[in-house]
Amino acid sequence: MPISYPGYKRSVNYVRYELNIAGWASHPIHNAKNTWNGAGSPFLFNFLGYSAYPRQYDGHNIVTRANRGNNGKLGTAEVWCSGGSCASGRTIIETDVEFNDYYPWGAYGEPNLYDLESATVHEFGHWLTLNHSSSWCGTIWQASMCDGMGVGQFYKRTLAGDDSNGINYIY
Amino acid sequence: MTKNTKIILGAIIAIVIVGAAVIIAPNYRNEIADDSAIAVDTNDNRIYSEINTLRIEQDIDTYTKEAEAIVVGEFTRKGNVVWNSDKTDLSTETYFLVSDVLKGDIKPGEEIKILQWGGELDGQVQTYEGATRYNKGQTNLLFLGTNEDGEWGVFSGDWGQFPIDSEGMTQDFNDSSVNLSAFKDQIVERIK
Repeated sequence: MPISYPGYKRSVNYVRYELNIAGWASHPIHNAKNTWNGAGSPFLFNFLGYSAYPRQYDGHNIVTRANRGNNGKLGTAEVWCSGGSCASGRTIIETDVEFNDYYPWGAYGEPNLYDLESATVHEFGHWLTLNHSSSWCGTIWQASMCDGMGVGQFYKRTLAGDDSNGINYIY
Repeated sequence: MTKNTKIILGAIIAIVIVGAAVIIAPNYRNEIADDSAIAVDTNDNRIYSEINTLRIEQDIDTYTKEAEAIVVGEFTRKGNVVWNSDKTDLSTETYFLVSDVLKGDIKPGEEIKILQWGGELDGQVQTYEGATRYNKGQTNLLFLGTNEDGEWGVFSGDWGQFPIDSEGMTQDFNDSSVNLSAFKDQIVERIK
């Protein structure tokens, strides 16, 4: 199976997240939520509301944006587990996502921008603890959990069979 | 309403209430348990987090264009672990002795500091998937960018790192084995 799972997960079959993306359209995030919620698993992404929390360990599952400079990172998914390092059998207690707004993002399928919905589907997959898909991504194999994204690339919006199998296997 | 009817009705209501409690309570308990857990290791009191990144697609044209500097250098030593300015990211200082510069305002012979994703400081540990890894004395071709604080970092972590083996060979963007000279030619051709 091209997508792997490290063996730790949430103790509940939902995650409640908040948005701190002032100035950005929120529909790409909601669309990504609906994509995973329609994957046939009992696990649900629930939108709690808007907030001003940054990416940090604070008890809030945040989707946020910040300028991190020209480091090649479009998005960052950070996961905290109970009892220390995340390892097989441990429980996830918090997950944040931060998009690097140094790079140009689009919400409406713009060909010269990085697609926010595609990136959110991918990062939400990390909240489920799905790892990156294996090699050949983007050419022969296209899945939401493929690492790497170019401008005007949208295939991550749609879950591939292994993406759906992943969430259904874990939850 | 007869006495028997009242008893039956009461029993039905009781069953409904108990049934609802059985269905709702586990989720409620789990939510409390989830919120009360902490990410502190009880053995060492450190807070750990795992980080995955979505990177700019690995492609020689894009990386050559987006990188602010492209250099060949030898890894000499590690330095301190540092926070970025808003204390969200930990990085480890690494030092390289630059032998060749294909792009950017760096001089051959210069020792430059490059931040490596992740590290441990102030009781917190951040582990990055896709972070660069170096062996002492090893030569690398590196695509460099700067973070929000203007510090050098390898563009897209290990996707912008090309270790050179003792025979001068590396793996190019297509995972093909190529000698350093030919790889540099591919890059320089795109800078022109």
